[in-house]
Amino acid sequence: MRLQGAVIGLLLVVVQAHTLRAQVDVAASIAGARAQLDQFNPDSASALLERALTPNSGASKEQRVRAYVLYGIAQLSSKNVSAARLAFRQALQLNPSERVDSLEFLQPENLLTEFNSERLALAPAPEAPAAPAVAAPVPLTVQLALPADTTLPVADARLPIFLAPSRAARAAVAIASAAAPAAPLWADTLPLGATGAVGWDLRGRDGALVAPGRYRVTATAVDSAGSAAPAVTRVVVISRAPADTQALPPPLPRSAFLPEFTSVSHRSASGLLVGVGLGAAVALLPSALGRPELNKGLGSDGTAYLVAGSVAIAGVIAFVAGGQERHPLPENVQKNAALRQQDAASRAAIVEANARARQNAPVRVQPEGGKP
Amino acid sequence: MRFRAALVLVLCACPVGAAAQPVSGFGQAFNVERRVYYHGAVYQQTGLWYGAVGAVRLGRVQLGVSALMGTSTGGGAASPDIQIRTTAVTLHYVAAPWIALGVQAEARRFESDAGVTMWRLIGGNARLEPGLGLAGLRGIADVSILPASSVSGGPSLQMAMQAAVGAGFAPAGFPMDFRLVYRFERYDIAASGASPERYEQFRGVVVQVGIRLGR
Repeated sequence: MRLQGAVIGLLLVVVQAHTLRAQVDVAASIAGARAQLDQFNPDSASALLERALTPNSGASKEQRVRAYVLYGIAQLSSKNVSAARLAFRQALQLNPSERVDSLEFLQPENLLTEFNSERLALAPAPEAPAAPAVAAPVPLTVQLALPADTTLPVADARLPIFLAPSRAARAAVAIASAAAPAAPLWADTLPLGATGAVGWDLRGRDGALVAPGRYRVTATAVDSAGSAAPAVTRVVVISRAPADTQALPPPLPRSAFLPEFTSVSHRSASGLLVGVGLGAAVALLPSALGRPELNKGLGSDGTAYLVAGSVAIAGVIAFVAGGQERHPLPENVQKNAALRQQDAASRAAIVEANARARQNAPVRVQPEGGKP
Repeated sequence: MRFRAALVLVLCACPVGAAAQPVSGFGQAFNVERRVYYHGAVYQQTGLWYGAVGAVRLGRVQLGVSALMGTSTGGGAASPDIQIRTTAVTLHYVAAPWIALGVQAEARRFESDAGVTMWRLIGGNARLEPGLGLAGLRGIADVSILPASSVSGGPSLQMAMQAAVGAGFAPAGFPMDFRLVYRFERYDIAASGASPERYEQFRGVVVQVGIRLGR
């Protein structure tokens, strides 16, 4: 019995040794084939691998997978695509998760394509998607909130507009004139899934402050599945707060100016002489120009004296009353001009300041109907 | 008739644009006394003549027309009442605002029971309107010497002269103008055939009221 036991033990040792040697040969064959592939000798590599893949080679599962993969590569290099695919299929049947990415550098350009084709061919048919749960879809909504009656400065004005979608979605807001709601003046969007405020600078597309009037604020939201929330609309009334302006002073009264002329009475001695002379001429006219035959023995003409006296008196009156001569006063003219200039400059400054004040008057934003 | 035609021609020669120039127009009344010396006797008539005078100035040239008509009565049988109509045209060069020199042509028509007589009076004229030193007040001296004068179809006039002296007033700011002058006219008519020399003179106060535009 002892001898029988010893023979069996010896046989086991021999068998073990043979198996071990075979495994060593398989590993050497695979390593040799790998080296041959590096040296672009696919035929030699194939011969080594065929030896490792024989049924009695004693190759382990991993070794067989490795050998099939390398064999497929060798066949691809030899342009034997069908043999390569067969080898890849056998490798994948042994190990469906086998990858060949690390062997891509071994030159066959179609290595990954062919390998993955076989992977797909072996992959189980996809199962039909499970029918969705018959739960009622929750509608997407968005909340829009505006500040109550607020006044903002023109410079750096920001009207906060709060947007809150009911679930993860991208919320947006657009503002348009209530008279032309189809032409948005301004729009902004929150990041996907965000809730918060965007700030409108109260300016339109042209960058200018929008004119006072009614404006429509419209909030929307769209989730990643494309579901849109019903638009929420509010109307705000924008107006300008009264500007702090100065009243123009009344025009300067006449009394504010100095007289620019002085009147000097000018008595004309020549006028007096002319008047008296003409009067004398009238008185003397009949006798001086008339024929003595006609005037002899006839009374003098009283009308002549009437006219003569009138003309002479006119000359005397003119002399006494005198003509008024106007003499300019240059100093006063200059002072008045400076006063007018100063007044004009002061008025211009007030007008300019008022225009600036109106331009910078704060903007009042009121939700229509008092609903923020 | 030729004289009237010439008068019409002068009037028609007035430029169309005259209306845009300084223009004046007056109504006038002449309280006239007429004296006539004939055959050693003096006959005197009186009357009131009415008329108008107007002028338009084109630069330094001034064209004027005047007309008077009326009657002279009271001379007795030897000097019948007459109806007088006189029309004159003057053309002046205005040397200064107060002096104008020019020519005058006048036609004077006398109509009485004895018939119609026409005078043609042509000569020079000088008009002075010196200021008296008060705005709008001025003296007036208008003298015409008419040597180229004659009685139509009759003797010539040895002496024909007219003078008007007085004053005028045009208030500032108003277009009105007032004139008061004393007018004196002397005509010496030469002897003709059996008729001896005859002397006539017209004198009296003339009042003119009118307007001046475009001064």
